[in-house]
Amino acid sequence: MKKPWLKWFPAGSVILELRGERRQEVLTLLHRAGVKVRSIQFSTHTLRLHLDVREIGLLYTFCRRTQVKFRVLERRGGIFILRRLWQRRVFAGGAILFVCLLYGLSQMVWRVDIQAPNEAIYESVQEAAQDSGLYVGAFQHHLPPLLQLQEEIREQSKDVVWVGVRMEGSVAKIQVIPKIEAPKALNQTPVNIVISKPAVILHVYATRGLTMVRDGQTVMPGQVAISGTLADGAAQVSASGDVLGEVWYTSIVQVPLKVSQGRLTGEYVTRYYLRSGQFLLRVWGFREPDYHHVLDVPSQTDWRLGQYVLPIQWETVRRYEVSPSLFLKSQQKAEAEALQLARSDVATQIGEEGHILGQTVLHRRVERGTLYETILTRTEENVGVPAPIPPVTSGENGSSPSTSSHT
Amino acid sequence: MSRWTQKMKGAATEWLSLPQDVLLDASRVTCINASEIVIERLESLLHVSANEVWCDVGDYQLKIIGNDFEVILLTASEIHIRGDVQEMKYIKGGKAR
Repeated sequence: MKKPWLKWFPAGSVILELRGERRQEVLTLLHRAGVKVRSIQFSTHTLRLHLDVREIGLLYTFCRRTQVKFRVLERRGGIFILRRLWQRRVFAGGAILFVCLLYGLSQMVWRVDIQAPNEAIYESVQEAAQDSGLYVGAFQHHLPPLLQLQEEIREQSKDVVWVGVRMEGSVAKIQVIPKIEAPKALNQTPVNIVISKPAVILHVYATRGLTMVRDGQTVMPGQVAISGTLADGAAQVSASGDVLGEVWYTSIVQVPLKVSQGRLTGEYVTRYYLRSGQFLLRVWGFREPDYHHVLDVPSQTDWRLGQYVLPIQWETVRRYEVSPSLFLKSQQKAEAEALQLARSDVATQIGEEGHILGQTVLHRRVERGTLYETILTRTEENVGVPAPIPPVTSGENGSSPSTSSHT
Repeated sequence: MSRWTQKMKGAATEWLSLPQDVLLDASRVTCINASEIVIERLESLLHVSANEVWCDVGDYQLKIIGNDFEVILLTASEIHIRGDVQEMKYIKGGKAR
């Protein structure tokens, strides 16, 4: 059933039942007074009508005059709704509070997504955004205009050409275009390529300058491999090229054959603490198990109110049972491990371009449960580094072949 | 309304061939399928009950007889009735009361 009561009587309306001999007369009187009445229904002894609540006073006088009794059957709309709401004001207040809260929370920034090509840019942009007021929990109303915001972030973060900030609901999306470094200008100052480590030359790829060493030659640090001095000192250029040499490394490695290791049995107890600074209060988890060896793994909450870290934090400690065990490594396995250790030791010294040619064990000794090895690792790497041309006369160039006679 | 203006209005209505209720203060009764009646330009309500509505429409009194009447709307100049209409009767001589 349609109920357009509110449209008819916006202030509220009542459905009344009139009872009395002269009830028809009340209708005539109401009509004469110009009162709007709706839905008049007749039955043998009563009369039912729908009336604006504001006309009830008039109806009352007419009923008094005609000795008609009336009673209210139903109250509808307007003030009656308000009255019902007032009777349930806690509930209504809750509903309003909920809407306000929802609105308030929707006005906050709940996530900041940063699209950055690497971690360093990500962090610097994040920090810059935080400084300009864009962080999780910030009110969107308090943010500066987006154009200004992205300008601020761009100025404050490193290696960034352009920053775009976009709000999608409660998520702030920051897009970053990183600065791409221009290719380095060719070095124009005249340099030599000299040897950096003692090596045996495998091959020299000179792109500029004069090659001063031969393949298979043993060279020492400081020796000129590619000279920037051309035509007996007539011209000096910036020498460039790769000098591939075989370099030997000796590594002394020790690998214990007996290893003691703790293993978790899977048994654990959990303890809960309230932490305030250094003070710990155990709240739950009072079981004291008889573990011989234990491992405690604590984890602490990071409760904060805005930027402020709360003084009370919750800490959970898991105490695991550990069963210590000792096991012996076979010598074969230990030797393989020693080679691997030497390999990784060398890998840190030869740079990205070099690679390992081979490994030889020079010395092996097992003493008091430990394997001691001296391992020779042969690598191929670029041993040439640029160095300024010494201000000596060009005749000094002859000195490098004299070193080569050392072979 | 003086008799003279009444006459003039009547003549104008005739001459412009307009329906009478537009210019003259004539009442209009709309009856839909013997189940709904709308009376406009109602002067006064004389009697309303479940099987009789008696009202004054100016120069006439209008009496509607039927069953199960229900007044849907009653305002100062209009009455909307729903029910089973059987008879509509005009009685000369309005403004009796």
